[in-house]
Amino acid sequence: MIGDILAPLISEAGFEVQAFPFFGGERRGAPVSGYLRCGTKKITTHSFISNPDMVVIFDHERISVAKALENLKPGGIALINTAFPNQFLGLTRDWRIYTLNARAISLLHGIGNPEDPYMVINSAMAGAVLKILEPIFKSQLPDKTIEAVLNNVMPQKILENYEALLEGKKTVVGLMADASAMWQWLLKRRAIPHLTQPDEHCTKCNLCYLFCPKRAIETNASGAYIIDEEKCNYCGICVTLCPRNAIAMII
Amino acid sequence: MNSKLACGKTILTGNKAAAYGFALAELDVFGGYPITPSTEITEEMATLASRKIISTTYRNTDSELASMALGIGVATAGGRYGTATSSQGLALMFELLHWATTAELPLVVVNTNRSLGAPWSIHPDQTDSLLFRDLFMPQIYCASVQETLDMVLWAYRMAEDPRVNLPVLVCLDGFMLSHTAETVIIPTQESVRKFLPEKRFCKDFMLPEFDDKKIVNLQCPYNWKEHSRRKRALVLAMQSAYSAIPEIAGDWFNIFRGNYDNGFLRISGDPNAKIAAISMGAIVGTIEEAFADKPVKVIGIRFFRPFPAKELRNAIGNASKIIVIDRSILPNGHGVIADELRLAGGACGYNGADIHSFVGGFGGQNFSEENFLNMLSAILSEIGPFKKTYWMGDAQ
Repeated sequence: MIGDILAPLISEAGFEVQAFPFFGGERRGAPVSGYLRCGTKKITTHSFISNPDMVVIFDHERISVAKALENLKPGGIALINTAFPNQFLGLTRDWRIYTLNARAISLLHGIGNPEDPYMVINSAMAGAVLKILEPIFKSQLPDKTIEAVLNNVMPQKILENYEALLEGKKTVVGLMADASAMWQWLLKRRAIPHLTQPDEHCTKCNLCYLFCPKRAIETNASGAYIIDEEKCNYCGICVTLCPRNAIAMII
Repeated sequence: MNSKLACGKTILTGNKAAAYGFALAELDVFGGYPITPSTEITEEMATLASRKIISTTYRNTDSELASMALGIGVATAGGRYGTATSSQGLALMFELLHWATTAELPLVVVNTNRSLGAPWSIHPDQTDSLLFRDLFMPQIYCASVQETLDMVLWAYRMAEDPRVNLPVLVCLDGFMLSHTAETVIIPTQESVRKFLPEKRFCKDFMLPEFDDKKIVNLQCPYNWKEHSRRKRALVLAMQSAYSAIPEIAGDWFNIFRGNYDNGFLRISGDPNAKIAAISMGAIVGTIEEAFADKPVKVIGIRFFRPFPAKELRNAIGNASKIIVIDRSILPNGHGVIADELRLAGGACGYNGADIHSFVGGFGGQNFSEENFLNMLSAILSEIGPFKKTYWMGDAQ
């Protein structure tokens, strides 16, 4: 992806570029890494990148996110393919986190197979990276240029990949990018809130369930109320509403 | 799908660049056997040939030995041949590679440097090609992807030079160059035709008579006189290769405007610096970036064979410290380049004892700019190595 799609496009945007992979096991499904350098000066070095400005994670379940982000510069960017972005909330205190559901985008455009555990998400991810790099490009790359590069590189499904790339560009979003000032402050203080589940004081009045903007509160089989932390956006409405203070936000 | 070979500025990996070099050389035959990390070269040649973008006859050989056997046949008939391989493959074809050199057959082998097992590895170091440095075969080490494409063309120019007539080995570090995408300018076919000699194959080729002195491959001399004559001819051929290099560099500059100086070395940094750093391959670029504003001149060796002793002496000049970084190791514990310098030092007039030798990079060990800066500060502070070989990655 970096060599075939990103490198030519970054070069079209007028930058010097270099991209290379690192392989371990020679088998399908083995983890691989890719490195990319871009800038205004000619690049002659051939070393690995030890302190990146940006890290892109394709599969956070099979790859240790902590290890991947180990040397990412403070304030750097991490782009993570995931269906549940909120689990990475804690990372936003040190870095700028961007997420998209590249697997869903790819499957939607007929790329990859839902039964296949390996994700074929290159185009969507490339789109997301391009969007994130836009500030340094100073201008959007014209869609025609993108299509020309894909035409050159893709053996098949050129249109599908092109669509997936554009959608990746559109849907990538910064985690907590619109967070209120209070949240930004809380996160900077290295305080990550979490909610207690409604405790024995809960009278099942239903208020939390009704007013949750994310519909993150449900009842389980035995009738107890449960907050789905992956859907929760920590707005605190349920905490404020609960007449019995059965839910607390711990910071 | 284009029907013509791409040209102009583009992004290519080292493997693709090597394939484009072969394509522009308009080979008669390309024989390929896959081996990581060179496989993409033979894949790209197969793609170009099957789509009739090039008229080269592509053959999948059944091993690297067969690749060289095919090359010997094609070159004997005057055809232009190329193949690509790496470490284990290069070792497998050695018997016939040696034959091709001593039979004075022009052909080009691109070798993506990879650690020669044991232990098994797919990652780069230069132990594979340097193992064969005693062959009468020029060896070129590329430091960038652009150089890879250009050097494949240089290799044919040198191999088919009537004073040389030898196989030429073009090396590029596996993954560091072979799989690295960089900006490349692909020359036009027309300009390449001006640079390369006329192709020699003609359809009326006939096998020569037994006593024909001109075809060296098919004779079976049995007396020592012929053997001796051959050996001397090979020595002369390597000397001719040596004198051909500046001519080739000059012609290249005139036609393509690419500046390779006199061809032997890649030099950067302050020419009056008192410290010279010498290395070979992809890490030359890393060293250049690491020492960009330091009082060091960085010398990258492009032609390892024939060894440019005189040019190195001129480049080193009156530097008082010579740092040599080797990605190879000899049984005596020294790096290959370091020992070649020590050997040449006597004849070249610089004191071999001033060589600070570092070895490392085995099995793909990464060299960062930081490694080189630490090395430099150790040497500057005089607590560094004297008359000793230091292993990179040891606590320093």
